[in-house]
Amino acid sequence: MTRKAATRKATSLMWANEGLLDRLLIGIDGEDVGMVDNLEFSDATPASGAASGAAEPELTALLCGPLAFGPRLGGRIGTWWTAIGRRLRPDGDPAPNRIPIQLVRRISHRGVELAVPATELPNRRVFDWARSRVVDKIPGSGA
Amino acid sequence: MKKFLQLGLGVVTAVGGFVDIGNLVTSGITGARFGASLTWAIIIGTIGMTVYAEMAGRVSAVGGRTVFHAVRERLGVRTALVNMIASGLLNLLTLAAELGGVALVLQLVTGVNYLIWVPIVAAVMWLAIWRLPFTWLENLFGVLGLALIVFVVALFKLPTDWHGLWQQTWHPRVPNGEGHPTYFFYAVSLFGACLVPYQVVFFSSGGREEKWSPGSVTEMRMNSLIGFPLGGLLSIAIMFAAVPVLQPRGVDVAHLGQVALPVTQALGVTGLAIALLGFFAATFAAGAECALSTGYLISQYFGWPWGKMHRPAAAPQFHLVCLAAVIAATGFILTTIDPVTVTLVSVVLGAAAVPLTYFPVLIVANDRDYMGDRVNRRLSNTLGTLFLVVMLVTSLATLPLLFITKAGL
Amino acid sequence: MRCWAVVTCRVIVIALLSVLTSCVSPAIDSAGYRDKVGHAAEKMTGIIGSAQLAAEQDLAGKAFGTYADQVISDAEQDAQSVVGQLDSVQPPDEASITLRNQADDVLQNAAGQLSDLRIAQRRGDKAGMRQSLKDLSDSLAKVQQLQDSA
Repeated sequence: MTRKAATRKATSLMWANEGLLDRLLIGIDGEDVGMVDNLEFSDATPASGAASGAAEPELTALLCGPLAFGPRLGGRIGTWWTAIGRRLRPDGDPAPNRIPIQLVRRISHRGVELAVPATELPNRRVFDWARSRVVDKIPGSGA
Repeated sequence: MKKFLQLGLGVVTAVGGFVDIGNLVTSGITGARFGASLTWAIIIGTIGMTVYAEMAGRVSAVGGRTVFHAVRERLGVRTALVNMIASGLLNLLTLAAELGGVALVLQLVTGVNYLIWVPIVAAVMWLAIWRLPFTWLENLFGVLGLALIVFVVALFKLPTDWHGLWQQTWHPRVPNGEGHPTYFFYAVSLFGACLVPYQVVFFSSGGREEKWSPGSVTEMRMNSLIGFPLGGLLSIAIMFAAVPVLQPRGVDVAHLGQVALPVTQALGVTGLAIALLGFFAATFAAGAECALSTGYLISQYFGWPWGKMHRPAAAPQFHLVCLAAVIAATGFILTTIDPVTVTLVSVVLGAAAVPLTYFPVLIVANDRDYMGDRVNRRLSNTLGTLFLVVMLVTSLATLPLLFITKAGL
Repeated sequence: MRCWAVVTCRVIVIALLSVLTSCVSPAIDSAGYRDKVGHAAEKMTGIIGSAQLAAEQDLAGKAFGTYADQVISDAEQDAQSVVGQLDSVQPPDEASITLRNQADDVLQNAAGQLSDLRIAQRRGDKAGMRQSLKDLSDSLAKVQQLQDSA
């Protein structure tokens, strides 16, 4: 076992870049759902009225889709990508697709395995568009 | 017995899948023009292809990673995006060349202009991608592609100077009247024909399509370690067959039809028919594989469901990409650009793009977290690294060579 | 990011420049012209060889008609493009003009005979094909002479 893996096992730490970012999201039905394009953390500033002092930032959701992906690209292309992603959203909502961390069943060497099937996730718009507008119209698509 | 047959079929498919329009054209051209003095390029290219196909197959079977999953994981979003776009465009170019190749074969048989065949071929190819089960697509054309063995048979019927070929192979010299840039340009083209990046993408994704598991490693190894070298041998046979027939007359191969002249000379109508069947199967299969690879690599980059193991309705983006790829390539070849030129440019640029897909495979194949005890051994690493260095140098030399020689003219 | 953009722009500009410069052939001297004639003759040799092979195979019943037709037609077109390409080069001096006239005769002749061959082959006229093949081998000798002299 490599040293890196050993440390990870011993302290049960994980690096975003090693184990989360750009990993495959897999539904409970075994289907590929998307890629982990970005991460969402809770705000580190203490919530108003919290007695326990400063809260620690916590990983709350995995983000995917163009609105999460564009900022990762950065630069002009990233901005364009985000803009296109925003146009694609029906309600113009600038927030990217979230997969709450509670839905993650386990993180294995295959990718991030989720506890729900692909159909119950929010990031299926391109899938649905490609399917209803093109693929389903061709005979033999198995729809 | 069934197991044995299955292994044989896998090997045969790998042989047929290795040869495509790139090998046909470059082997024909170089045999007629440089004799056997460029055989080394096919040998090195085939070794590289075999080493990396085995690696990609292992990464797919054991690590559950296909090439473009690995590319995105290991190179990061940005570099991987550039990589994906470059590989995708290259695939389109190769697909266009294969489509043109199939159409040219049909023109040779029917006498009807290839441009009329292009849309028909494209439609049938897309239909095959849409409807045919994966194993059918792979095996049927792989077996038919084996018809190219006629080139080996022809070699024994032609007045082949085996001694001379042997000499030229192991003591290569740039022939008189040819410049060094041209010589190396064609060496790069032979590399590119053996190593087209789509083949590694296809091999690793095909592994997932066929549900390879760690237990399939032996089968996968048989396919790549026997099948691909035999495919390389076929490319060499095509090259050698041109030597006794085309070289003495100074023929410069510029059309696909000329590649079959040696077989016709040796074996007559039957030989010609078998050779053309082989051309057809090899280019058609390669075209379909190329279109599928485009779907694979884009879908894998974005994490979309992909592959023919799903109904099309369950992998709509993948099928949309495949369809778009076929349409784009068809449009490109219908501009009446010469398919042989497209082939040459695609294999040369392909050679330049090899490190893009091969490097991430090498890295993941060395990762113990994924690969367990199936991690790369020293032999794979030494060969893989050496080869990558060769290809990096080749990449840097490619564009200057392309311009200096004006695509080998 | 910006740095990359600049580098990319430069690479594209250099690539474009080299494409453009390779399209415009520079003015050549008489030695360069002789090279061009030699190159054209060399190409023509191979083109004739290819057509001869296909025609001989057709006559011997080794190839089917559409195939031989295609190889011969390709050769015919290639020959015409060789003639056209040489014609488009401006001969730099008197000696080159003489060379051009001589080369043009030989190459045009060969191209014409390839057309004859194609016509005979498509009509299934075996005698005509044999005649054209004979003419072509005479032409081939002249083309090779031209190649040696240039």
